[in-house]
Amino acid sequence: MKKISAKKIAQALYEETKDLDKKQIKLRVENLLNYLVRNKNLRLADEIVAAFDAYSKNQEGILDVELFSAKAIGAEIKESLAKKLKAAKNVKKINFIEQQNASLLGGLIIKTGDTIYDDSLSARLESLKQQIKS
Amino acid sequence: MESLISTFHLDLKLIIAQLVNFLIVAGVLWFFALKPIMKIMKERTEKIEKGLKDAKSFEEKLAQAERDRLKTLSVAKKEAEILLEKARQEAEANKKQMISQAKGEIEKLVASGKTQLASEKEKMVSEVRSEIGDLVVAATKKVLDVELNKEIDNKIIKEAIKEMK
Repeated sequence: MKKISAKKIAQALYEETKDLDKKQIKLRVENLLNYLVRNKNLRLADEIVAAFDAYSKNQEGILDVELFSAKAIGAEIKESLAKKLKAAKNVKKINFIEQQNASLLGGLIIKTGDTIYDDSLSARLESLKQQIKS
Repeated sequence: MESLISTFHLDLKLIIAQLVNFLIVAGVLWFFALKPIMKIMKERTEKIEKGLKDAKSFEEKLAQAERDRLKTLSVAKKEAEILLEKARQEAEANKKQMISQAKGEIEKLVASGKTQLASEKEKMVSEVRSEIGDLVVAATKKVLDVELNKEIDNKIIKEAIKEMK
């Protein structure tokens, strides 16, 4: 029997459950788990969850954005950033995941998927240091 | 004839006897004195002539030897001059070669010294820059730790978002 990838299972699950209510969704998930147990593929569960999350967000126009800063970022700034990112990435919603790191000193690092925008003061200082050295 | 004999009281017999005596004495003198003397004289003359001849020959030989000596001396002098010239040329060539080698070695040493100096200078400048970089960053971090408040940080973040492409 040909193996189905976690990504394809996640996509199928999303398409099947997107218009269903919670009870029906629970039933579909149980069915999927039984299927995985029967086929001894339970180890795929974590991958399926990750793929489902990514696919569902993609389908619904949600973008995960990691924010790294020295101090907590205010709502006004996040709103402004979300607006800019929505326009730039063509998505409907921005999901901020914030992390504070005092070693950054100031500024922020924005990470979306594989793209990293680093405008922290520690990075600026490092750049200055390299410029002085060269 | 007889008048002449009587005038001078000549005794013919005596005269003949004296003539015979004379001839005997002359003969004895000839055989025992004149002949050996003549012989000795002749030999002596021959010896002298031979001596003179030998002396002349010796003189010629001496002159020839002198000429040979001068010739040999001249040849030797020429050879010596050639050898001297050759030695001088070799010495000159050696001198030039040694000067050239010394120059080359000096140039190499100077070039090596320059390179080493430049390398050390470069290293020193690099080290100083690195030290300055570290100092600037450390000092800035200290200032930021003290001076950077939330308001300034927000301003920086806003600027960063504004410049983000």
